[in-house]
Amino acid sequence: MAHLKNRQHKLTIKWIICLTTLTVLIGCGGQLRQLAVETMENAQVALSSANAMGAQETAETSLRTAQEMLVTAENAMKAGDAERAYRLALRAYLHARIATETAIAIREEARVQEAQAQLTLSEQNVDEVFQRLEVIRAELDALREF
Amino acid sequence: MKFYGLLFLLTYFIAFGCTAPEIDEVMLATQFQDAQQAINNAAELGAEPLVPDEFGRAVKLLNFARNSQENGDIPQSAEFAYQAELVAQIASAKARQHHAQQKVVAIREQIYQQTIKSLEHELEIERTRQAITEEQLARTMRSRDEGQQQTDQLSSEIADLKIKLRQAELRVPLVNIESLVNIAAEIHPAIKKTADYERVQAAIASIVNLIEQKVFHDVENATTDTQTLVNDLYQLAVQNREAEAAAKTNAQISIAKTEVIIQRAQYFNASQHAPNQLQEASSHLQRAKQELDVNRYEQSQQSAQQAQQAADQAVAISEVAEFTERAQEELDRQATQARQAVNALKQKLSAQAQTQVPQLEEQLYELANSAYGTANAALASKEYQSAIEKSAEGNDYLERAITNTHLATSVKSDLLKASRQIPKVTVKEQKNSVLIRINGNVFAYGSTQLQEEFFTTFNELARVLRMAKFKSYSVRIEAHTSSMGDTSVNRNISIGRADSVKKFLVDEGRMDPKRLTAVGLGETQPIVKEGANRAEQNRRIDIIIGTN
Repeated sequence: MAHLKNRQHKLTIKWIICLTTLTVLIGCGGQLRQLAVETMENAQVALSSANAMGAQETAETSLRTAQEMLVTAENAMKAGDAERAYRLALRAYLHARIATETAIAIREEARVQEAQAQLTLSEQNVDEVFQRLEVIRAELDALREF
Repeated sequence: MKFYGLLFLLTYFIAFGCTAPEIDEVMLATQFQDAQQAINNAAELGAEPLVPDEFGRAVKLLNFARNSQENGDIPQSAEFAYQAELVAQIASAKARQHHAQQKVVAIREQIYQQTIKSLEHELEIERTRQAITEEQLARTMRSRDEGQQQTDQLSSEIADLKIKLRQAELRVPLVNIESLVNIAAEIHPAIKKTADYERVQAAIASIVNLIEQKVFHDVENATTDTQTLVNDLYQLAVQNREAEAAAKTNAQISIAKTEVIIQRAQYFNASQHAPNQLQEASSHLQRAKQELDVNRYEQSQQSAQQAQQAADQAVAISEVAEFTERAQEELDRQATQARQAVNALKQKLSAQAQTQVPQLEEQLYELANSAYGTANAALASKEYQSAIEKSAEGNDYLERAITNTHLATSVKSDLLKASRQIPKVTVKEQKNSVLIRINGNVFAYGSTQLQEEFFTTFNELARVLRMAKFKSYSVRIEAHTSSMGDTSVNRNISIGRADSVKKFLVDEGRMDPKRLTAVGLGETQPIVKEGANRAEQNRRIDIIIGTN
């Protein structure tokens, strides 16, 4: 009985170890999967932001890379490779961020160009007004000398 | 143990799933370089202070990658390095954003400064415009003040001008009045001594005074009254002037008439035939002129009429005496002239009697002689005028005869001289012609064809006859033969030869055929009747050039 009990105890221990191991493994695997899913979601959000910033025109390469990587990550997830999906999703996210930030940077630089053009116009306007001022000053001087 | 072994394997496979990707050291090194380069780029863009989170994360990821490499976890190291590169690129993009935003801010600041400057200029423009407006306003005000002063001055001047204009208007009729008075005085100076003249002068002085004192309302009435007075004064002056002028004219006419009659009397030599009457007329005429000079026209006219009567008597006496005297003189003069003319004609006729004139111009010479006879008869019967006219007529005939003779002999002489230059000819002067004779074998025996050796002779003959001074002369071509052979044959041959010469002169010598007459006379007019050479001498061509 004791032997039986011991054997049962050992079996129990084994099952406990197995269950624990499976639980740990399954738990770990579940967390990784969850992390991959969340990362893919983040990448999707980042892609949406990049599109909203006009990256399809100004940062097309980064955007396309992000999209392709996200698709690859989804395929990896479907294939059950959560870890690869996570890594690819993380890359897709980073590329989408690059596309977003690049689009913003280009937009800001375009604003610089616009501002520069406005500055040029302002300077021309100042010159024009100054010339008018000179003319009218000359007119006043002439009137006073007359 | 099998269980644990299986469990380990299961755990391993679950833990690491699929096999890790194959990554070699070269790829990893490249990835590290890319990551480091991305971090460096971000650092150059100033990402560290601007975006410290991303920049720091990239650096950490690269450190993780290095740690993983050191731990031998190559895939993880590559993954971290890749992530580090991407995060560094994000940092770079954000740094660019910061730079762009800073630039935008800086440019906005400059735009703002420029806008302020522009506004300051605009403000200055407005101030200047205001200053101009104020200056113009000040000028306008000054101009207005000056204009007002000028207006006041002009108003004063206009008022003065109006007064002067009114004075001038009133002076116009006064000037007319004064002019009319002056004209009246000029026309008849004696008018100045009349009372009307004195009244007019007083009225004019009064009007002038009124105008000067600007009492204009009385001036017009005074002017009208004075105008009436002046008109009357002028009419009186004109009437007096006309009467005086008529008397003066009459006296002048009488004096002129008398002068003409006295001249007529002098023409008839009145100083010799009627000296008393002429003296009386001259005396009265002198007195008439003296009275005319002192404007005593009626007395002047009376004296002139007395002078005229005396002069008429002188003319009547002198005219008869002078006509008688002059008629005798004229008769004597005509008698002398007639005698001289008749004698002159006589002497001239005698002188020309010994020359060629009576022969060459016989008719004119006879007419001159006849006229002389008539003139001589008229002189004998004291018809002097007729004698003079007939003498002139005779003289005219004689002069024409002399001229014609001179002309004819001169041209004929030239013709003779020129003809003698023609080869193979004999030239003879005849009364009214020149004969050019050509002997020898002008034609072959029995032929009418000119021999070539005589072409020069006839060409030269034609040249002479074509000369302008001989062009009026007619040319007769006579062909003569010897008496050898039949008479009728000789005549026909001579006619052919004469025609042949004419044809040559026309065709080759370019002579007018109307001037030429060709005649064949055969053997009828021999020039030599005896002798051995008579046939040769009689066979000839005679060219007879009429010089009348």
